[in-house]
Amino acid sequence: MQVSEINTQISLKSAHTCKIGKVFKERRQLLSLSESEVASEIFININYIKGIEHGDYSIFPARIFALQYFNKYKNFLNLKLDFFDIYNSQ
Amino acid sequence: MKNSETYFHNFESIDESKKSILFIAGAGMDHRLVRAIQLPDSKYNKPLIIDLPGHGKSNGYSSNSIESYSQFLMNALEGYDLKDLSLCGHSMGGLVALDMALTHNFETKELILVNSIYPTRVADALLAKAKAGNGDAANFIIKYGLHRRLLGMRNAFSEANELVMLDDLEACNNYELDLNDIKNLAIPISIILGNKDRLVDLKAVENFTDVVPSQTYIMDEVGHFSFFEDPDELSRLISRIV
Repeated sequence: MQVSEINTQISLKSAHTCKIGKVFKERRQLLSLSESEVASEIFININYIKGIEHGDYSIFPARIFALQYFNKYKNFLNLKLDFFDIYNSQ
Repeated sequence: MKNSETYFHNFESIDESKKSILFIAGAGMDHRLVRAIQLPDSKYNKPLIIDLPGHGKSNGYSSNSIESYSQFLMNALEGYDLKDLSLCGHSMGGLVALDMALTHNFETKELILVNSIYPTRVADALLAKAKAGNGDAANFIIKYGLHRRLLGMRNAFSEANELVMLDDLEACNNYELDLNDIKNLAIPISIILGNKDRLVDLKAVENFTDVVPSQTYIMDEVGHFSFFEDPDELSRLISRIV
């Protein structure tokens, strides 16, 4: 058991993550699903759904959570997208 | 109690037509881990948990080996023909659950790691506290592990005079396995983490999930003690998974 701090203060949003987020949003709307329906269906906090769709990953407590939920949401919508690693691009 | 040595919690009322989940407590903890867990009666048996040796109401001595704890549970379960059983380990208990599946080919429907990941390496500062006594270690873990303020949290830890916490923490440190072996297990694995948990190494979570197919769930505003900090949400999540 390590003792570590979780940093949630960094801004993690870019033009690229916004573009990717838009793809998520458009597919969800195409399927006539609300954010809350998705959240309930795949058991993700609605704020994380919003974070991915807005391309703003600062909502996630750490990269691993962003990556995991990105993939979970992507698979649910059957999208072929790669996770843009904004955490390691800055 | 099945016998005078080992404490079996909720084993007296198992209905084989319902799903069962065997919970495995973390370092220095025991059956009191599940006291607030509520699973729907219609589908699930009450949370099953066996106190590890030297913990809670079980006799015997604690160990600094995850393997010996998993062997202990395998032996304890021998007399039970539990079908549709899932394993859910908290912190150190997650390592024990992994070892049961890996070393003993324990047939579990699902493996759930709560506030737990492999590897779990214990900070020297915590080990130093554990050498001073169970109480010091428990206070340290509560200080850094608990996000929500909970009165009485200290009561969930061992009151034993022996250095149970030290053994358990060393067991975490000593445990070695190959992630590729876990990858080859044909068992669904879920990981439940608190977004305020400062005791789980997130880099280890990344490494684990990179290799092992698994589902990760985050509990919001929860630290290392989701069983106590938000038992309702955890119960809901577990019943969704299992």
